[in-house]
Amino acid sequence: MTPMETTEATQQPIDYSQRIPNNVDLADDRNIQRALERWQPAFLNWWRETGPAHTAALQVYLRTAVSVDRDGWANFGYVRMPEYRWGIFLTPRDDIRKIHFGAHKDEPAWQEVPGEYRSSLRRIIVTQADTEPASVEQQKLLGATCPSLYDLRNLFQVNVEEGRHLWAMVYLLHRYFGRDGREEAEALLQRRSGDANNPRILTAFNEKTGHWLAFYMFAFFTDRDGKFQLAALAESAFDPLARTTRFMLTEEAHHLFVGEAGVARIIQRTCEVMQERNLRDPSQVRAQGVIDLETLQRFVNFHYSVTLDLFGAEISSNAASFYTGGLKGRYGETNIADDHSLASDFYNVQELVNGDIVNQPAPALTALNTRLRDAFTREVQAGMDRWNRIPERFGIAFRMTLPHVGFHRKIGNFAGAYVGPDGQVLSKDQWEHRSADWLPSDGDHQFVTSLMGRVIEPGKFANWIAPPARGVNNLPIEFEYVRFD
Amino acid sequence: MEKPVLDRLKTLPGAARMLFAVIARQAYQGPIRGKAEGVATPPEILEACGLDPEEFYALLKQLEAAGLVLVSNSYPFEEIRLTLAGIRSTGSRR
Repeated sequence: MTPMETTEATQQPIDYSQRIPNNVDLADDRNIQRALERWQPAFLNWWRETGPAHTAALQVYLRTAVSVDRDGWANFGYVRMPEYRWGIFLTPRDDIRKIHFGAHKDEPAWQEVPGEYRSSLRRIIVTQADTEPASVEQQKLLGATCPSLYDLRNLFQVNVEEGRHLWAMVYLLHRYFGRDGREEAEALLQRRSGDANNPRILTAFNEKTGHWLAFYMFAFFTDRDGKFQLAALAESAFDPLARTTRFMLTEEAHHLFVGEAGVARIIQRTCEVMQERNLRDPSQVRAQGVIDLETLQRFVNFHYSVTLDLFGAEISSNAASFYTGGLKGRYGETNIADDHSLASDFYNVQELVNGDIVNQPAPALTALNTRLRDAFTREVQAGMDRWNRIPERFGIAFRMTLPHVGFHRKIGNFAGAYVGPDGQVLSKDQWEHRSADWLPSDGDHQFVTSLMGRVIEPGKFANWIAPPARGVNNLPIEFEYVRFD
Repeated sequence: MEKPVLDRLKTLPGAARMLFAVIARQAYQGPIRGKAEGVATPPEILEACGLDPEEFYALLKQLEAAGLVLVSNSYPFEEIRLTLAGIRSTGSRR
């Protein structure tokens, strides 16, 4: 790194006059600009083919980033989605930023990729990048069954911003990883969610998001995994990755709200109907065209457990080497008061020993996935507590709970084990006998799907979900968030 | 009266002060007056401020404890109003 690189101007305004909006001075880097301008039509083809179906002509009231500051960072207006200005936005560079964990602690943050970490960093970036187009593909058909224009607009907002997150990652691949990076960027547009021959990298991103309940659960649970992964990468010694992911977190925050509020509004509507008609039996609740709380609990169990797998194995030598190398920190690394090396620390990890689940201290370095996952669980629990205020307010005894971390796991210490939601270790027979009580069945999916009809009259909402209190950007609920003309 | 309000604001972290500014803007400066003046709600605030619900609710508690905002209605339909002290701190003449 040269002295010039560490003292150059750091904050670029977002330049919307360019074919690719950016705040990274792309016009001064002709090779990268040309490479990205070649990738752009392929991205648009991907969007047309796998993005929201039959939406090219719709005018959608969307926010677009205009600044990387949190205060006043977006403006709102009608946009046809294929004309959305997907761009490259990094938070401002801190010239004196130092690495604050791992073996390179206190060294200046890297502005280029060190050769020894090139392969690991590329893998980290590609894995994160792959989730962005995957979720757009998973949600492709939801627009046909939207519960309102307000919800439809929120779906599209999430979709275009996941597309922008792909741009953010692809910029890093092009700018810092040469030919390998360009090939990875191409492959990101070729893999497809759920494709048997060329699937997305992570299992959860190959699951179907076939209805709006699944979408809201996905946004609450799985997008939150994204938040924690991005937050860990925002600590990275590789400064362009840290700055990219920081701004992605600003956009991701709203996606979490869409998920939390969506599920909350479903619970609200169910509780309203239960109270009005004095119903408690799930089949009677279903007969009113709303989703019973027991079914919602099964979806919580499914989406939480599938998302836990995204954190990887509880004990991971990769996580340890990423941390020691300075590639990926802990959640809130800067605010943790310890030596930031973890060389002699321990962290409790649950595992199965002789048929019992026990807490065992493990070297903290190898337990980093568990630590990140535990932070995720604490935050999810706080959201669940907010959800549970709704039945409480209606005088309904039902409370949703999170299943045990060993429940329905495919990766890590509990892969292949049979653990009930309460943490009881079961035999295979016991699991098969009971699992339909705990996980959504085909019948549950069919029932939820049967409720999904398209509601596109401004201000109207499907029966199974309560309207929000207010609309987007201070607008009324009746606002025409999506124009079909 | 002015000084204690400013003092209250100064004791809050930067993120809480920033959230307060967004609440004030959403409460009074929305493009369409489709709701009671002086009221902001989580959807519009959260989309404008870039905070996720965890951060938002934690900071909102701080603003409430500092006497700068009042929160009414139940989750997830909260309505957030600036208190008189909060309005003064924005310099508004309303």
